[in-house]
Amino acid sequence: MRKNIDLIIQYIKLNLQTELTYRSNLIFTFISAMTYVFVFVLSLKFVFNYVPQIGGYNYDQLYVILMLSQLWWYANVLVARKNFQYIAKAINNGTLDYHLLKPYSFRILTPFLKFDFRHLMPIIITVFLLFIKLDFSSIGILQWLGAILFFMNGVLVAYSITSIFTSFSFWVGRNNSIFDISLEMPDLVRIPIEFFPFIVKGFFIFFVPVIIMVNPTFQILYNNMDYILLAEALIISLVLFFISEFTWKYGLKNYTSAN
Amino acid sequence: MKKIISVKNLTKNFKVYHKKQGLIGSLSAFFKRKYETVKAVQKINFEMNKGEIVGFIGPNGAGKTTTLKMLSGLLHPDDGEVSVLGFIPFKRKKDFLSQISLVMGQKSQLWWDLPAIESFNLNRMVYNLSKEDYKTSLASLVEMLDAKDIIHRQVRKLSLGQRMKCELIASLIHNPKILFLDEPTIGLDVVIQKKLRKFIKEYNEKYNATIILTSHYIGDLEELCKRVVVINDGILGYDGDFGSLIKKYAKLKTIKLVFLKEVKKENLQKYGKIIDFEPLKASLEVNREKVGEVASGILNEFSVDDLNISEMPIEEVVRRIFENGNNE
Amino acid sequence: MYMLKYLELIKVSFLNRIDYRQELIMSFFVGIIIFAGQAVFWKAVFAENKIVNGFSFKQILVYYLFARIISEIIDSKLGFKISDIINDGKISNYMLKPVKIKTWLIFEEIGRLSIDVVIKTSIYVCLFLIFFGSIGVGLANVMLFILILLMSLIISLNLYFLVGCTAFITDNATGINYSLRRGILFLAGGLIPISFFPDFFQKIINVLPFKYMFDFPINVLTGKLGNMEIISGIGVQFIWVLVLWLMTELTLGFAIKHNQSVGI
Repeated sequence: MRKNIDLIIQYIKLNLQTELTYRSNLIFTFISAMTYVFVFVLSLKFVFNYVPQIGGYNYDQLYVILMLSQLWWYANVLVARKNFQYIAKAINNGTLDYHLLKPYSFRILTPFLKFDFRHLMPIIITVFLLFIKLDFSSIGILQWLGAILFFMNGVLVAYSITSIFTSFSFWVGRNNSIFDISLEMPDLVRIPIEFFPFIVKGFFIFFVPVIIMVNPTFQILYNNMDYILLAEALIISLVLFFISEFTWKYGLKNYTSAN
Repeated sequence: MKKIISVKNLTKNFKVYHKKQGLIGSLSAFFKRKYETVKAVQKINFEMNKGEIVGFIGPNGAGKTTTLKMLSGLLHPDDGEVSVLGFIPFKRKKDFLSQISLVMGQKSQLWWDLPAIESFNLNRMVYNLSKEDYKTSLASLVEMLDAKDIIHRQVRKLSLGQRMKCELIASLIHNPKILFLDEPTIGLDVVIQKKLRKFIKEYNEKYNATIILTSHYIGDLEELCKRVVVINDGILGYDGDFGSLIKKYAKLKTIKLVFLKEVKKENLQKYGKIIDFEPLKASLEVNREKVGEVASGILNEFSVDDLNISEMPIEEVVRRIFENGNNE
Repeated sequence: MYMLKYLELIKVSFLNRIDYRQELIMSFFVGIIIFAGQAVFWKAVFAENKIVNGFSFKQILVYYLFARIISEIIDSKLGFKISDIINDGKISNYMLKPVKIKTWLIFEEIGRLSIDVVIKTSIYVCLFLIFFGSIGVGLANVMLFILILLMSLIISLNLYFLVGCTAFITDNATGINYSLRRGILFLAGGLIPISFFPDFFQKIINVLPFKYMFDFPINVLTGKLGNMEIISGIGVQFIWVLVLWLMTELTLGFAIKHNQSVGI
């Protein structure tokens, strides 16, 4: 355990050192990331010029869930996206070999392989933007804990899904589909659960689980919990996690270690 | 004595999908794919003792690298048994991985944007080395490879040869008992090749490490391996003494000549078997032991513009081995 | 013959694309899911109101249907490709071949797009007809739409080409590519129709090239524009086609000079 923590710290350090060799990137990434937020907020604002509320939600509430979805996305990029893009490439060109030859637990190290410092600043700014519209007086300590727990749960779901799809690289060659798809997910993740008609709700909870990413967190912050949804979020997260472990292990058996 | 490496009936197949050329081919493949099985390694058997250096030779696609990858645990064999240091490699136990190393010529484990020393330090932590062991090992390797000036430079700024040196340091920092070297000298110039071979020999003598080296250059093996294993199309064709292999199957070398003045074919015939002849160019086949003598004889007698001595290509050696059906 | 090599290029690109069928199927599902998300959101908007800013719910859906179809055609990965070429120094490879780089890349892109467009457009239209009923588009509009779309395609290709060239100033070109594409999509009316933008904003957008990628073609198709508006729109579109083409030629010239002097 101690060794794993040391290695994680070392990886984070090395990634930071690598990042510092390219100074201009931090600024550009910051501008890039903020463009997404900016564009989302403007779109929302423009629509609200024509309607006073949407589906029972006012602007502030939809703004909050929008910020939560952005935070979810950045967290996803930080621990999942960059790392699994690297791993998918490594599976295809065989550079995964070196990781497989080392006496450490690759799965535990995975979230830190390519720790993306560039997105730390956007995360901080987005948290700040989120806090502007939150009513702190109405959020108790338990709610904060619950919100953070379910937020992490949402990130874990995205992590597991990315891992499962990356494992497919063991069988099929070029497999960038998950990284392209996930890019579009923030558009869906920010939609409150009440907007989904009954027919498609199940699909978006169990099949393309966008509803469980930030809706639980949002509900807890506004003290409006749907306990069934919370339970579903935890169970799906657990199931996906085990599936991701299984697909990885099974995929490794199929690894052909390209030259 | 228990064998440090033991392989029985080791087999590995790959599924490759077969596609016809052109638009029709692609469209039909879109709907239905034909797979064919490539038999990369077929029922090979061999054993090694501690401290041995064995060379694996064979043409491209022979199965050398696949065998090495099964020995290091990267690939799952489809059949057969393999034991290295008493472990089953593909179970990838940490104790096993801590004692082996696989160096691949074209793949790098070094962090591209940072000095090599950072990657060494990372490996120190990966392999749980104490600071003293790390310092000793690093100093020893740096000295053997003459790498003092390059380890603090960014990896992307190093030449291919320099990078190879750093790769070796990174791979050996933990003093592995077993070293797998996959085409380590490929793409390197002659000077560096010689240096690396010298290093590998020294390393083996100093640490009594067991080494398997794959290559398709006979030159790589001449300096290092007393014993060679020849593989082609996944089948083991020869396992034995290198000297005997050369004597039996690679007796001949080729001398290619370019002359300044035209020569007569009869004057050249006494030196060896003529394969190609033009008044200003010729190729001769000569016995290995006689090459030096023949070369100096030709240089003395004729006006030579260029003289090139080359080994019999590995494909030819392998062909001869398999023709003879020699399966020691 | 001059054209043959480019046609061959389209074919090879096309083959490359259908080779990766799982990617194709995946990207198809992405389109469906995104559309579903947009439909869900706007259904909530229209929950209390039948008409919002001159759109009915059905009309908004038609807007997004065509936005999706147009997206398949003009939303190319060209920018990423250019960035990669610049970053890896592979621009030299292209310079060594007896072809014009830009033409080469554009034809490669067309080949890649061909199968996506045909398959996905058909399926999207069919699904829409099944779930939401008629689309209500006249034939004359379709012909005009295709002409305008061709110009939209040229604008898009040149625009993303320029975006890709940001690789000269940063090695984080991928991030820039993503966000500039998002910004462009927003200004083009790909996220919400331009008519939702405040008036002053619309005035600015009317003279920029982005609107002519999405909003303008869609409104022509759905018959929301009068004849004068269509004609002036086509005029502005045409000017931007020329301007952007010129800008990419200049940028490419700079790229080649830069490569020759630095020699990646």
